[in-house]
Amino acid sequence: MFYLKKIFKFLSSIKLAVPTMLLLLAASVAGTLLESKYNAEYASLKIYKTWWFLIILFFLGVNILFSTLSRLPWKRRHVGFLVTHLGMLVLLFGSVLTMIWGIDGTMQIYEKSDSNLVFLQQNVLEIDGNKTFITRYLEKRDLSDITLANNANLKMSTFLPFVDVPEKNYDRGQNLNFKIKSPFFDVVQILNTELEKEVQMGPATFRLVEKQVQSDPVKSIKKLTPAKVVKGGSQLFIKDMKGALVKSLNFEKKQSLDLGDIKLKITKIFKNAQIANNKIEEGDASRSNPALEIVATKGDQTAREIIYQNIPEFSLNPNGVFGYRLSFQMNASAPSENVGMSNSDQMQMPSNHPKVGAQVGDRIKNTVEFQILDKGHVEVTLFKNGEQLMKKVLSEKEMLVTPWMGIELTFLGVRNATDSYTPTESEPKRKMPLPASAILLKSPQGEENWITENSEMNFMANNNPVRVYYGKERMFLPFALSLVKFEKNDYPGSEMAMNYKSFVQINGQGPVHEIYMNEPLKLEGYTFYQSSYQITPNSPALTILSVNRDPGRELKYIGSIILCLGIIIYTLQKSKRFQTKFNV
Amino acid sequence: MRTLFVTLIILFSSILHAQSTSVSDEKLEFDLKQIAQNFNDLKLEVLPIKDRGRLKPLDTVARENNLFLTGKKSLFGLSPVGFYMAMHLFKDSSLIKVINIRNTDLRELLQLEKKRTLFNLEEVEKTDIMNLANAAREVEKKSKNLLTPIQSAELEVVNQMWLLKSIQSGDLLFSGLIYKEGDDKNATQVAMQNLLVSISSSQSSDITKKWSKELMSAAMSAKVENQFMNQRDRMFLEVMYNQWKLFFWAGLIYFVIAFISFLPFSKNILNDNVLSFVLVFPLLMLIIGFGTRVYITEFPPVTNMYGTMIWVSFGISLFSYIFYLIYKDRNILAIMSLGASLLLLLTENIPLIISPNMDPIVAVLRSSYWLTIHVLTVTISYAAFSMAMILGNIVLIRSLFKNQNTELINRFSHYAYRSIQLGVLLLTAGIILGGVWADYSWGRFWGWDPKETWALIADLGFLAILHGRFAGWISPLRLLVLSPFTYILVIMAWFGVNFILATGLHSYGFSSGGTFMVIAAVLSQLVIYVLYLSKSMLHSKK
Repeated sequence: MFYLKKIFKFLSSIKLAVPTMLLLLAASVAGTLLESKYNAEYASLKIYKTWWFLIILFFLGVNILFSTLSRLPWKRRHVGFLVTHLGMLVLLFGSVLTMIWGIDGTMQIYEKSDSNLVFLQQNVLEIDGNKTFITRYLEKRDLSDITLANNANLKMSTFLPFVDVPEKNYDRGQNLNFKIKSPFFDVVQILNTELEKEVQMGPATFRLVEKQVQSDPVKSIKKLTPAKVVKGGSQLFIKDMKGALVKSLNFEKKQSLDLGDIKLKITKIFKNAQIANNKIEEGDASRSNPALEIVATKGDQTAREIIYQNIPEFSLNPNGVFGYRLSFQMNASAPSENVGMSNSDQMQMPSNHPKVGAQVGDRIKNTVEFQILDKGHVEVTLFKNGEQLMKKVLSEKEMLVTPWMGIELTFLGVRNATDSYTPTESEPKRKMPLPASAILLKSPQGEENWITENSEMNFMANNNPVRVYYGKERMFLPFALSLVKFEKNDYPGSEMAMNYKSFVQINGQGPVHEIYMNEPLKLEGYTFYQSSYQITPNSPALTILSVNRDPGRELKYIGSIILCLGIIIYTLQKSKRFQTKFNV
Repeated sequence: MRTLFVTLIILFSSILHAQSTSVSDEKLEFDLKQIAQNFNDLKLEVLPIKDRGRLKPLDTVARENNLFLTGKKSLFGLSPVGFYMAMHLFKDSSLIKVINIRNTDLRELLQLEKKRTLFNLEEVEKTDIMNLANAAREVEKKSKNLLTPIQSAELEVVNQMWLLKSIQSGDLLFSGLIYKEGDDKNATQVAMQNLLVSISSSQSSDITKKWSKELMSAAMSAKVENQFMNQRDRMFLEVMYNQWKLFFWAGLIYFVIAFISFLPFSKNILNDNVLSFVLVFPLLMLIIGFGTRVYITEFPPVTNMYGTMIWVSFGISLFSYIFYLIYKDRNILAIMSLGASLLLLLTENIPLIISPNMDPIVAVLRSSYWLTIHVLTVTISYAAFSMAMILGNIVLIRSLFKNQNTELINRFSHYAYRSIQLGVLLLTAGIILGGVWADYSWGRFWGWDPKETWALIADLGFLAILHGRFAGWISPLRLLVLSPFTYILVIMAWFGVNFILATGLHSYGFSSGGTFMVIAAVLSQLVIYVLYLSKSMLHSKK
């Protein structure tokens, strides 16, 4: 009893309050410093979402609760104190409710399409619909003991906190993986022997060249002209609804293709499609957004379909054309009309200055050419303004420092594009989003496969294909939001957004609701906020909404009001203590 | 007076650099002044110009551009508009030293004279700046956060070159002119063209005046977007606002009053009644200046750092007045006048770090109702904390020279305690309002964002002091000693988050100066502490 009293006294005392406050203060300082060095996610994993930070907050709550109780029986002079601390308790309690039962996610909707998919914050491993929550750790972990509860009997083995994820996936050809690192960037790049032979990255162009007969040195200097053009048509891929390739066809121009049960007619080919006035048109000469217009006929039914090479998910027929999904690849090896001269390469005035016609010096053309010798070796040739600077054969994991800007180039091997890959470990980078994490999955047969964050894969377990997803937890709203229109208003005479607005409908019908900054939409317990947007010249506008359900909201509001009232009462109440001491 | 000052500086520098300054420099300056004189009585200051999402008078455009280019509102003692227009008309303007390269390391890197800060376009173009800036631009494309200070400086210089070129070519001047939609002849541009021609061909002043009148009437009668309609009527007001510099003069008045009240015989010159009466004037000037800003921008003046600093000075003046009415202690007025004057004069004198522009705000902040209440409450709490900090520093510095006076310490400690209480009240309310605003616009009450976290940190710091005082752990003297220390948290929340934690994110190109300012403030505070502690240690040994 005596001890209980003593513990109660300590828990309600100011001796606990001040150190707790100072601890919270110190931890928050550390959190903001980490955030400014890395990013918000890193800070929250390291500080704000740790168990010890929650314990500090817990003790703060306990301290406030007990200190109000310790003043029983309450007197008039306690009013200010009580109201203030009660307000804080209500506020903290509301936050706990939000933390446990609240939903905080984001959803993305393209203009003229709909979605009910919300990505939540928590990471999850989903196997045929069974969810297992995965905590994001900051260090490498062994997860081998966890067996997933379903018939697939998959085991999670290793958790890698940070890995480099290639930006693109190819379904054929060979991938040449290399890493370039400089004080300013650190990325893994892939060149593909069939689909992507050239990438522009920072100050240089990286290019794959075919093995060719020994030529005299003068010729090799002239290699700056675009790589040899391989004649050949572009390819159209026809897949079934599950994504399996049914057929691929070559096409070169507008033509009709017979698939047996349906007929396809390519009616228009765009090198750079742009949507203007609700019509699709050819844009400038760059190849940034290839698209096809196709008319499909099945019996006496026809359907019009537009497919974009780079945004396959944006289709006129989200449920497929007569049971097929279409995608295509424009002839990738044709020379680009404007190497090094595309708009993005020109220096632009910052948005707060008007554009003027000043001339900028030509950019220096650095080129790196790779020639694959075998899977573990590659010959690298460096050029500057067309002059060959050096030539070297690299074996896997070997590094080369380029003579310009001190870029470290590491060769990471050549792999078949369809092979499963082993992720390379990475580390959080200064002021950049955190790299993805990856989990090694083991089938009962001992087959191993890496899955990286925010990706899906098919996995064979007991000879049954299982669909595995790892990434942000996905939630499907009971209704779909369709984005009828997205509108962005600029301040006149500038490119600075004054306001942006999404016009949405529920399930594509009924009244059109507007969501914009500071004007959220409330629907069936969910609140939708305009969070961000993406407008790229050649694709439909994308709105990014944050979706929220907060059971603690009312409590937090009430707590806020009580707290504010409390402090006002507190300040107005003339404390006897100070009147006697400092009545000057 | 300003002109005199500038001439003096020019005189001095020409004496000092007698050898390095070639004759042609003076000749160029003379020619430029000759051209600029033509604009003296044309009243072009009020010409409305479209710039960065707002309709502003040519005077403001000229001031802002001159400032970015040269680091000053104008050079050679010319009026901002005169200098700006003359730079356009003068054919040798590439030879005049106007590009202010602020970064010392960059000057060294470009192999320019290290001691000089102004360079002409030809000099700069001869350097390697373009290649350096190209590399910096690549980094910027990746992420603005990765830019090093010197890279930001490189980009800034390139932008300055661009600005100068577009002043020379007239692109900037003509693209901002407003004209009637569908008016092919474009009366405004024609009038401007004719005006410029008449000046450069030295036609009679009557013709020049005729064209400038034509230009004004064309600009004032042209049909413009609805948002601009109201703004166009405020051109004259904004020019007045630019020229009057109310905040600067208020700061100066506060300084004089503070100076007089610290004189030993001050009570004879300024008795309590006169003092409290005189102090109404600078307060009114702040209110009028503030009101004008709100009227021009049609938005509460909380959109940038400049606005908050003026608002805090206003808060200090207002609170000290209220404290004076409660405690009838003229020391409060004297001390706080000094505080307000220092803050105002600082704010007015570093336009490159604390930009006074009135440009529109980003979309998130456009919910005027919540934003206004939230930001105004949070920032005015800084005013209350500033009072506690000033009182603390007065006692710290005083103790270096004099023995402790218990009566004075108790009195000041009580004021400081009350100030902190007021500050905590306002800051807590402000943070909560911020939470409500964030919840309302973004769907989350609290997100550990650096700005909100630092506000909480500052609040916790002062709350700890209040609780410690309540528990009796902190004596009146300690309260005063701790206040300035805890105020460092406020400096971090107010400036540090923008200037140190997020260098390059919130401010483009000006951040290095801001970082320096914050570090200097914190360091000088620490120096005061070191002196105080060494003094009290010596004292205790005796």
